Amino acid sequence: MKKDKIHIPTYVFLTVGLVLIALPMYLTVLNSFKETRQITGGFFELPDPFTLDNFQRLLDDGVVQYFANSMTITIASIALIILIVPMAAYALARTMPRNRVFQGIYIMLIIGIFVPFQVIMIPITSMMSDLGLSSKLGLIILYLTYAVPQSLFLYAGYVKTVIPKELDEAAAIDGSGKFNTYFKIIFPMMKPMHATVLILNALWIWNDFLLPLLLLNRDESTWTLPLFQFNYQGQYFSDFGPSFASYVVGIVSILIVYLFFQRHIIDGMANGSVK
Amino acid sequence: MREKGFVNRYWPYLFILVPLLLQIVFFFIPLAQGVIYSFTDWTGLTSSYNFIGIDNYLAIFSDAKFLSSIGFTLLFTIGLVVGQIVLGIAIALLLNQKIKGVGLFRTAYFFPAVISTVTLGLIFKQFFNYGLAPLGEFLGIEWLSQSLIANEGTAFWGLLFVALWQGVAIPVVIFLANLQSIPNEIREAASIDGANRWQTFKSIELPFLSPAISIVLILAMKAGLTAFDLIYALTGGGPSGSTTSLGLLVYNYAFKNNQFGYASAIAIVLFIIIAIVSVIQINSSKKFEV
Amino acid sequence: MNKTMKLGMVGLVASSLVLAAGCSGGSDSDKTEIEFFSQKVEMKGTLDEIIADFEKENPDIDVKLTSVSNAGTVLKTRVAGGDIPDIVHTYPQNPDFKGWAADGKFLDLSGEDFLSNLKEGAAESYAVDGGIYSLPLNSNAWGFFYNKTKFEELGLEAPKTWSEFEDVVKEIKDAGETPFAAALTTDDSWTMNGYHQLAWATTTGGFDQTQDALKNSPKDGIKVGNEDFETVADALSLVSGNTQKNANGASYSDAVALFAREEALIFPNGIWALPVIRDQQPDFEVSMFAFPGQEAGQEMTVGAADLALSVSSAGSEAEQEASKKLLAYMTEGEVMQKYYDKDGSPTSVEAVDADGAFEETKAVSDLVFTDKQIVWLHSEWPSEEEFWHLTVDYMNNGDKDQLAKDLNAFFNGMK
Repeated sequence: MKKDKIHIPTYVFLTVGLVLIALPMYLTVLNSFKETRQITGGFFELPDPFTLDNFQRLLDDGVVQYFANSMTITIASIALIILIVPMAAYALARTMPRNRVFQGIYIMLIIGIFVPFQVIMIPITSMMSDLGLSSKLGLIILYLTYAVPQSLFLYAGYVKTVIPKELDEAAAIDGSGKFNTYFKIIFPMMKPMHATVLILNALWIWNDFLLPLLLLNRDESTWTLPLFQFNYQGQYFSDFGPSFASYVVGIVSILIVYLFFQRHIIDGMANGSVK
Repeated sequence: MREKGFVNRYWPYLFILVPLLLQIVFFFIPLAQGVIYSFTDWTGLTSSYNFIGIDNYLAIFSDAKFLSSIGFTLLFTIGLVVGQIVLGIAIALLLNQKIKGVGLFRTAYFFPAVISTVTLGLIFKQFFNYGLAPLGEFLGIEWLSQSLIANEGTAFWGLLFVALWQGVAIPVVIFLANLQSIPNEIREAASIDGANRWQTFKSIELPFLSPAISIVLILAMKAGLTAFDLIYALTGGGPSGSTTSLGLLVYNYAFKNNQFGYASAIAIVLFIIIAIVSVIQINSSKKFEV
Repeated sequence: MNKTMKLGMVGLVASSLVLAAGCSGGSDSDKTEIEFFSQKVEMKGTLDEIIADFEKENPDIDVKLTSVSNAGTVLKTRVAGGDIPDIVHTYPQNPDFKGWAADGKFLDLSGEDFLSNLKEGAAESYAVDGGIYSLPLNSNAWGFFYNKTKFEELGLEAPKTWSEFEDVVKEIKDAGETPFAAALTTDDSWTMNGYHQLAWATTTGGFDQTQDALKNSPKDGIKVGNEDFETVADALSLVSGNTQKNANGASYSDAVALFAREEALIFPNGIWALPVIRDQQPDFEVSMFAFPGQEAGQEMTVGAADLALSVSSAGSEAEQEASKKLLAYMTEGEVMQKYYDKDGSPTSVEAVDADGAFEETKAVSDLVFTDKQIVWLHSEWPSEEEFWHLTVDYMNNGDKDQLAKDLNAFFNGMK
């Protein structure tokens, strides 16, 4: 009996939150089934007439290609981030305490967290175009680069506080080489951070608009989903119907991925975060 | 065994090589260009420019827009940091209870994180002006009977509300994961000792959450200090410039006012301020660790 | 991590990179490829058609159309980095264009035959340092849309003088209707730019006089109490309090929808809004009137080229020739007709038949290319956005001192 009493306020709070969360989601989905003229006039009304034309329009306009581009870019960037960043974080976490050079390198690598992108926007765009990297490949390289500061910071902190040094030493005594130790022992132990880094970066890359805009504007066949979504918004005329349909596509696809991995992500973060 | 002595000796260099090279080429070189521009009168339009020394830097401190923007940005960052940590922990605690249907709630509370800022801007603009305002009018609440983001007095809060609506989702997941790692035996021991809810939180849950708090702190600080997308999509910096963040200010100077040199100088100043704050913060947290 | 996972990961990375890199294939070398950078997403379909026809006539030229949203930012970034598209859709009254042209980024088109297909003086009016760096194919214009059907029901006529306008607004209000559909957010503050500029131009007498009052006056020279300033402020005040409820939170499309649903009878905006209004399928007759002056016959409009094309000077000779060929093609009557029929901005191409298609906007578009049109005032300012912002700020808060202060802050930088 006593337990139930405690639970009632919990449910009340959680439900209020749920309504707050659900409302914008509901509006997004609702408007994707309306004609553009009804969206501008009656944002909160029920679809009248109900239409699937917006989704048909997305297909006609080649949404599949843009979706595939976004997938390729997100997956490749994330895979590279997880391949490269934790390695460096591990090395720095181990060497920093007694080596000033590595301390300096660490600061160099994480300082980018707080630099507003606007200041390097023009130089980087022209540099990428000079290097012939105004392409999907170039975009992946930039995502990897700009993911480094924050991800490295997260990984390094994790290694320092959670993975004991004695582990490396024990492995070394057993005759394990550094690469071997890292891949066999350390990397799997970083699982909780992998989950965090994966979510943070995947959401950023999947929804990012500015970098693809600057790098991929020339070749429509390389566009990502956000670029495609924005193309329904003209200067004086916005095609809200297909816009909302495309938002639904973007949201639903990443939600599916999340639902699929949810257990792994929360478990992953929970497991071994303190042992 | 098969790895050579070379590797065992120089492995840290090998491990950091790729990210270091990437940062130098794709971050520091363009940044250095930005620093150079900050000493020029470059408009961003012409191929040539003049070096004007530190004039840009001197101009910043008498720029009323910069000063009001820094005030807004700091307040917004504080709001974001406090909100994400306090709300994040509160929601995570609620979601950590073993009650029916909690799985559904946990999933739902992550939803806001996946929406792109553009979508968010479109939806909330409508929601504030045509959903919330009529409600405020019906209830006779004056400040609510206009769009929250249309009024200088409330725009900050409207913006913070949307930022937290989305921004709290990931902290919740992080906090929740940490809470779940608390071994059951410890909780049980506490309840046998007759600890009340607050005591349990303070002595058991909070210590387990502290690494997560420092992570969320940094993430929220970054989001606040470099805020751009959401503000661009929601208020455009208005009304009367009251929600112009530093990121937006830099963008406006560079791309709307054709003062690229000056915009770079503002960005560099922002960067220096943040660097100083971070160093202080890192130093104090080092003491905290010891 | 076990071996399968590791292998899987490596495979994944490798295949993604191959996929990502795979798209940079070669192109036919016997064709001249040029890039056409458009800034109007909504006209992409029409431009695609025109380009396809052009390529049919010129099989040795391959035109790639780049059409993205936020095109202004993209273009600025690309030009700053020296990566200029072969043909650029520019706005030749804007400071950006002027800066680029003065810097030699575009070809001087003076003396090209196709210029003679335009109305007399159309291209010359945007000359920079005596050179013609753009081909202005049409012009936009600003005025007031109104609900003609409802006006007739209420016994109102389109106003010809400012005092008639004030009466009309009052009578609409007395009849229990809302006069203005407006979007007074910072985001959509551009919608009122024409209103403010025309308020000055009709008060002072024209483009030059307004520049003298604003830009060429002494520092802090804009003062409350000054006759012209007061007239302009009063003109702006006509909007305040006479809009729909919560106009300060409304977007451009909200205002369009409101007008189309007959919930407000006047919609201040440019002729470019007509396609959006039509799209809402209003049940009434839409018409326009120009910004009235103090006396009848002093009405004015403001506008400038909406589609102007410039050719990059960085391209090879073949690319430049091909680009000029496309420009010449755009000045042909049948070609520009296609664009006009969709877009509705009065065109400077002589051969286009402009009769009948856009009756609604006639009252305003008839003023284009006459002495009753001024070019946007910001053609002589380094930037314009703050001018938009201070305009809606004043319409929202009605603070005259603040207006004067904001105007001075904006113009002091140019003095």
